Amino acid sequence: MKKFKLILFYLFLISFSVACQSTRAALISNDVFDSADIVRKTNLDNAYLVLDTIDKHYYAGFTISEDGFNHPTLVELDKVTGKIYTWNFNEIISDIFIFNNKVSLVLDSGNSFSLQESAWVKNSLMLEEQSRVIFSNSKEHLISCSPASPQKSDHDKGGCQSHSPNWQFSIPWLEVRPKVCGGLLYVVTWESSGNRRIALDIKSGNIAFEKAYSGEDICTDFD
Amino acid sequence: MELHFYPGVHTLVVIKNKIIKYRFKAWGGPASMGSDPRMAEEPTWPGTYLIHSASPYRTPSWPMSKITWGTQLRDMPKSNDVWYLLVSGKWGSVKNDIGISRNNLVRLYHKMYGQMRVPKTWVFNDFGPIAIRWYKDENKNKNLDGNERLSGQMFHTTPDNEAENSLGNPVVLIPSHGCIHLKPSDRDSLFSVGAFKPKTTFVVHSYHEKI
Repeated sequence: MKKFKLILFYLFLISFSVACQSTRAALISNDVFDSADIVRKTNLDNAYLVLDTIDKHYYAGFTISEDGFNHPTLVELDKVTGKIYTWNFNEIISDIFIFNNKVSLVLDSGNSFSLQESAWVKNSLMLEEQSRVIFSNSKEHLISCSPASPQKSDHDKGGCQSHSPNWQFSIPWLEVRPKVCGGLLYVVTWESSGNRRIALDIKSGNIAFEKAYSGEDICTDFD
Repeated sequence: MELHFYPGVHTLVVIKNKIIKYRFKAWGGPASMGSDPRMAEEPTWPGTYLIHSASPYRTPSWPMSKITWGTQLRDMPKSNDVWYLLVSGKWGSVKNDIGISRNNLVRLYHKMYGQMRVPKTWVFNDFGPIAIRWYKDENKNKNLDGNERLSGQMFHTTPDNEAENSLGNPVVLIPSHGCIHLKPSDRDSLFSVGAFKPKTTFVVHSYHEKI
């Protein structure tokens, strides 16, 4: 039993470090952990995103029925009390983020919602389909990027959009999630002529720098 | 028997004894070069070719086509991954090997089949279950030899059209990057009449030619 607890603790450390580093989650089991390392049962069978706030974790994933159907689900875990809330959605959750000081999410359709008193209230903010929110501040500024389709027959090339200030930039990206570092939005393109790493000024959307990409960290300084 | 493709009118015909025996809808590439940065669309190049072979196709150029159509899958929801069966009998990771996570596969399958699930087999290869290849027989000896190479353009179906066909929905062909898109049922008909037999003459006409 002691050994089992130790394994659980290490698994927690691994999952927590992932949660702090990025918004991608790998759920070890149906269990999540509160701040006292107490295992809390959820009905999630899969989690692919986690948002870590001061007092709560939010997990986006699926519950999977016995016949294999996936049901989009969001779980909120209170780190202190261990209390769990679960919401089900009809669409896949593209991303969860903080916007205007509220926990928010965007569905695959681009519709966005904010959490208000345990209810998800639709925002006027409409994003591109399958948007990932790359940057948002406590004001109105939000930058989202939608990936190119991995399918040859789907000509959706993807790109990035900024809201307040408004600009958009058509750019095909797929595997490497864009990132904001030091006031620049870094995007790794997916192009047959060779992938490039492009830095855009987040205020104007203009290209600040670009260079051939060779697998370095996305935010590495340009020479 | 000869195959003739008229890209300007999206039609493929099978000619036997100088008579058009069968006629199928088929879509080639655009009449001029396109601008897809992932791989620019190109015309289906006019010329006279020979059919070479038909087999499942894989290519590293397109992520979803790195895995052969029909490859067995194993759902790994806890690690947000899907495994695929390698030729060696071991399992590979879709997430690690082609950079597509489980939730993206669920998303793609839902778009095509209307169900949020991981399929039992790989149904995402951009070239469908089988691709029919051709080549230009430069030395006219009816063999692929010397400096002759298989064309990078080929007949194939698309995953979306395969899904539409299997669901009994209307199959809507779309322009290609240079290959020739066929409806799944037409591909099967072409096989059954022997149109894809090796060494069959295949002519791609110019875009302005009518039948």
